[in-house]
Amino acid sequence: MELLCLEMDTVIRARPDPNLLCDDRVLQSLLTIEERFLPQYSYFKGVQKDIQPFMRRMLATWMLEVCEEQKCEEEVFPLAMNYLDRFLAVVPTKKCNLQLLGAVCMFLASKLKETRPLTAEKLCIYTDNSIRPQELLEWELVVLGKLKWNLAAVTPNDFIEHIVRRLPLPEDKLALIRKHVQTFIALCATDFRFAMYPPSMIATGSVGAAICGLQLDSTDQSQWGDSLTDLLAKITNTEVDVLKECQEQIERVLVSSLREGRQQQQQQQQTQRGPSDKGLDELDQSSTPTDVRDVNL
Amino acid sequence: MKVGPVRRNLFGPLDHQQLQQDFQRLLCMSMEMANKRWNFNFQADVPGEDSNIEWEELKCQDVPAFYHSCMIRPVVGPGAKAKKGMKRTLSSSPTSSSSSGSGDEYLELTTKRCYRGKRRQSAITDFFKVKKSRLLHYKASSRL
Repeated sequence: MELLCLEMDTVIRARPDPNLLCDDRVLQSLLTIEERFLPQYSYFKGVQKDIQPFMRRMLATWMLEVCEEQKCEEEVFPLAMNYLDRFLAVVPTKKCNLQLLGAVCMFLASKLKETRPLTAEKLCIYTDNSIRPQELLEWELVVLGKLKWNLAAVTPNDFIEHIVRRLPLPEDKLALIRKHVQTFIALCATDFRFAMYPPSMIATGSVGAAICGLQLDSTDQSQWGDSLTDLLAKITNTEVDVLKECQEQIERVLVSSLREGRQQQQQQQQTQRGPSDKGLDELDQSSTPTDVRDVNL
Repeated sequence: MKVGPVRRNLFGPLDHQQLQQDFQRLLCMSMEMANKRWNFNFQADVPGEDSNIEWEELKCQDVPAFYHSCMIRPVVGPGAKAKKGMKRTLSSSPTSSSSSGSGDEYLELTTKRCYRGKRRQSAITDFFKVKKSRLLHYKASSRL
């Protein structure tokens, strides 16, 4: 007898808990502990000899693509990048081991955050089988040790709801705003300049950038009372100037990312017309998160 | 599995032997640190000589069930038997048939004896009862 399973392949997800989201103590606690999970050093100026910032970006882009293709929860990618940065801040790492490390970090972040985590085998396939599942499991142990098993790091995503619900925003735009904020956060995670910023600042800057990008701040100035930035700064106890700078930086990264995306598309078209080795090679090293192109400035 | 262009090798081929050596080195380092921190030789599974933590032997039945011996790998064949006593056995991930003597860490405890540490502990006094502490001021300030 054959059994037929008609269950839908749905992801089980907890509903937003008002006890957590509406209690000010939760936000304050997040703000208090977030610094504990930042990487200790700007590791390209010291610890690391073999790897460079552009390699981190290549790796981050690949990790983001894997997370998107596997439809991981939004916080998996930023969390994996947090593990990566914390590990690289203490362990000198060779360039050739970097992708293995990235895979390990995704493996751990996915296990922590998802009901159906990524498997070791799947991650190895994504590296084009350059690493073996056994190696992934062994290095998982090394990474865990170096992170002192502190995996429940605070990410910018943890702040989104706390910030958004304190702002006078139109109900029908909330889903769109969230999506844009998540994209900005992912974008920041691919860029090393944001690696040492407190997650609350990245979250606040991303919310500001999303609202400005959607031009929700200009329709009715009076609803904000203070300016948007002042209000945002107050919510996460950030200094207004610092926050402004952060938001501008995020917007600059978006612009350069979009430019790269366009270049990449042109290259793609060129390759289609007449394929050359160089074109293909550069395609492989593309570093634009696909989602970013959907964001309007 | 269908994977698009996302499937790619970013930084060229890996030297698996070198990787294994790097792994061993890092693992030994963290093992050494753990040994020092807990004053316990995790390789030999015996207490260390230092004085910051003192270990006391307990019978297995005196500790909660989740500390009891167990095997995570199903026993294959009639000859394979769980090792007993003070040794921890290697038990690699389900996908690999044998681990190359590497990760002592995938192990589940198969010890018959259990030790309990004597040290100022605030959280888990139920299982780790402090009888006497040689270093009374050890981290006392941070725990108060």
